[in-house]
Amino acid sequence: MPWEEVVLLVVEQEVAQLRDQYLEVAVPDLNAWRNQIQTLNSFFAGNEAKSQAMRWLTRLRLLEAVPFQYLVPAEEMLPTETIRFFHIDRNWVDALIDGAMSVTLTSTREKQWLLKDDDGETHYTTIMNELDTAENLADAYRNFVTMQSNASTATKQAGGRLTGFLFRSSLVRDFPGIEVQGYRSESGNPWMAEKQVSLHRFARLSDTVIMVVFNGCPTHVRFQEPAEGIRLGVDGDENQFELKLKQADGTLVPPSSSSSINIRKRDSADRSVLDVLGMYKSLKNKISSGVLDTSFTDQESALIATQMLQYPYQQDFVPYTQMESVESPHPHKGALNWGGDS
Amino acid sequence: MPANNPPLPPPVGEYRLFDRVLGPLRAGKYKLEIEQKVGSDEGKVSRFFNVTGPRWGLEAAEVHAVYPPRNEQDAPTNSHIPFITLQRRSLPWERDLFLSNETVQQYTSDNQMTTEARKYPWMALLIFTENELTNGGQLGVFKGDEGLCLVDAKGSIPGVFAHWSQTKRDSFDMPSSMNGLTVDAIRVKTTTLRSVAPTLEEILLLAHARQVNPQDKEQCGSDEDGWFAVILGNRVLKPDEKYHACLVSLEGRLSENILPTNPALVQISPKAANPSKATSMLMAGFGLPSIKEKTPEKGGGGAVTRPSVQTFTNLVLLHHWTFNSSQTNGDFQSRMERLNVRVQSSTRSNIKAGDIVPLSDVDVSRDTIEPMLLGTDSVPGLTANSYLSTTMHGSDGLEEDVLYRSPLVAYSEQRVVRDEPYPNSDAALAVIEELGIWDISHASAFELGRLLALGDGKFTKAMKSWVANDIKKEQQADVEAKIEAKGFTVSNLNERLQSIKQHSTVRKVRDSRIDTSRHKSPQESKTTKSTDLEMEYTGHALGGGGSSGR
Repeated sequence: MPWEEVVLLVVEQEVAQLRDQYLEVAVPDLNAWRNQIQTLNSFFAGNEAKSQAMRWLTRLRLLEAVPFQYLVPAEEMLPTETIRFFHIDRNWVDALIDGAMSVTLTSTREKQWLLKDDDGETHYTTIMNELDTAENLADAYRNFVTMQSNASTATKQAGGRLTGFLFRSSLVRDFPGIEVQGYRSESGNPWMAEKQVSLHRFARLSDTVIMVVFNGCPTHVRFQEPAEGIRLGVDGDENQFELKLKQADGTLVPPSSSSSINIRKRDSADRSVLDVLGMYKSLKNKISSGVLDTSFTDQESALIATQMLQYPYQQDFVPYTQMESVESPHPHKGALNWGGDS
Repeated sequence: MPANNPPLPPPVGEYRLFDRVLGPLRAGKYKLEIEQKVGSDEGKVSRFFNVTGPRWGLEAAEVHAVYPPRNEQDAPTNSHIPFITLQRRSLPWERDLFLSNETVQQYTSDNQMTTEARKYPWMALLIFTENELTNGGQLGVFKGDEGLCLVDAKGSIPGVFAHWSQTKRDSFDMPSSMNGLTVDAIRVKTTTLRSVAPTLEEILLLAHARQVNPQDKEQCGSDEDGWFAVILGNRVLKPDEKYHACLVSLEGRLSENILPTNPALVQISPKAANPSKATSMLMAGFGLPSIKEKTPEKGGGGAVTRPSVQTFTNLVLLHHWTFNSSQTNGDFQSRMERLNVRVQSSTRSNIKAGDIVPLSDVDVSRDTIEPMLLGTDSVPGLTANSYLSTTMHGSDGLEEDVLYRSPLVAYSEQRVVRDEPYPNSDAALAVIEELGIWDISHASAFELGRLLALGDGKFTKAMKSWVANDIKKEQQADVEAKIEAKGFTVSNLNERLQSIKQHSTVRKVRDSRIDTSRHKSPQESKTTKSTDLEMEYTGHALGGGGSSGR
């Protein structure tokens, strides 16, 4: 049996060297990011019992444990391969929380406690206000990433209007990681980072159903093919496959005689097997001839992947303009913009 | 990329591509020897550990996604390439493609490729048509209970590594005790394999790692870091074919000469190799495998010039899915465009109000579609403001028509902030005056909240203890305030209490009382009794707090 050996020889003089070796294989602290943002744990820190109870209520606030038939009581409301937008009735959710708290607050003294004045507010109001903040903190990693990459949407309103949609489609199963962005725009180009409406909840309820809740009311919603599952492929047709060259930032090299390479195929079977090695060598030549960025120089599979990536497909949902012509009063007035104006 | 410094996620809408992600140690058995010298004293200790990882198959959770989707009927042809996305970024580089005594230079003379063996992935994605994988009417895919053994034969089919010597298998960490282990496998003609499989250099080029921004996604499954490994196929799809995508392990298999080297290439497909749609459909329909298959076997160019190559090759199958190609594309875009909408009205004769039609079939000039809102009166049984008519069964056994509305409604609903909670579900009932029937929405929500809380002991316990502690604290604060109102301070009183405690007569009285109780029940266990008393007292104090409310 062959043994691969890792020998760490410790003598006094080599302690420093050992430390260096250890550093090389050190596992990064994968939870370090949690210290950079407010999480449910840090928000309720200092009172373990309260923290536990409030975190449970927070999840309930996000409708996490609510059975699907309470959300969609009739199947015809969400036929297969459809998307249905909605507003959240916060009064319903507040009643849900009241019900949950009623189980534990049984004695007169406990009930009195809930209504007792606490710095000008009843405990009940304080709890509801804290839950308004807490529900924004529940999705901690998303908050962290949002803060890193799009700080303008990182500040969320607390306790305000929530909207969202249910999406029932085989796309959910077949393209896991679908990306969804909501934007609120009265005029001008809506697809700007600063117009983005932050996500409140994004959950898969079943194999083919996702539920997305926005913190606010977007007017424009964009679906995007998952970035890790973006189609890879070649250009041209079966008579002559080619690759249009892309720079490291994804932009196409302006069309010219040298802005693409031809791809050969194996002379076997149905001639559908691509000559990947030849493709790589042609790309290398394009780097040395200055057509492609020099930042590609040391790349191997990443270079191939960059050149073969196809632009992700986007599906936009925009205001439903026909609503304006519908006779008034229309029941959908005041609904999300795919049915009326907001 | 330094191993201990993974970069933060890229901005939204961007992604990063990496040649590979290498873990600090590859899978295998390791021995750690630690020696220490302190002055003239020496100490030595050995420790053994295994670095493990998938080898004979992948768990479902290891596979993030496949493309084209599993069982897709309309896989896009002639431009898109199948690929598999793996959940763990380092997975394709965790095992050795080469045996311990092999070098990269043995297998490639290409000086543009790296000679570092660990940079080569140990897996490849092979795309076969069903014909190519079928031999004598039997499909060469063996999965689950039908899988092949590592060494032992199953029926007439030898094990995957049966042609290896026991010495070679031992050095491959595959002792004879594993001979009967069943694994998923494919069995394919070696000539077919060599015509389809990537070359060694291409195996390296077809695997990369990807980092995306998880901000706009669902929780990214179980993986929240946005890192993935991707293995690409090397084949575009032809229309009207059934394909098998097979992620296979090539660990240690290079010496078997199963991968192509310098395959013949063509630039442009001549007409002959490009059958018309009708022809290819005919071939698919009637199946001419027996004629097609005999050609390579008889010609057997590879097999003759390389006597070491076996007619058939069995490979460990890590993941497998099938899909069909057709003339229409079933990609993300076309599926998105086929989302259903409900027709509000139409001037077309074959479409009536209420019909559900794909978005792509809507004729904008003649059809009006319903807004894509959840719960409008376009749905049978629903009112315009998302109420569903249903029946409530009362405790008296009577049924009553009522209205229910989910928290998800088609229009914006103003939040009414209450100062106090609903005391019970009846208080949350509302009546729709125009109709004279109950609206049970909020009452149902209250009841649901109650049931969910009752079902979770941890929550009720935590909430109870939070409130009890809070009440206790408030009571304490009340007492302190009263004391202070009388001109004392709490610390003053505490000092006074301490001094009283020191007083001997007080202690004696207490001692004698305890002594008396002991004399009264000498046969009872002292410890049990006192514990019981203590518990009873504590329980009483806690429970009693509520009942003596005012």
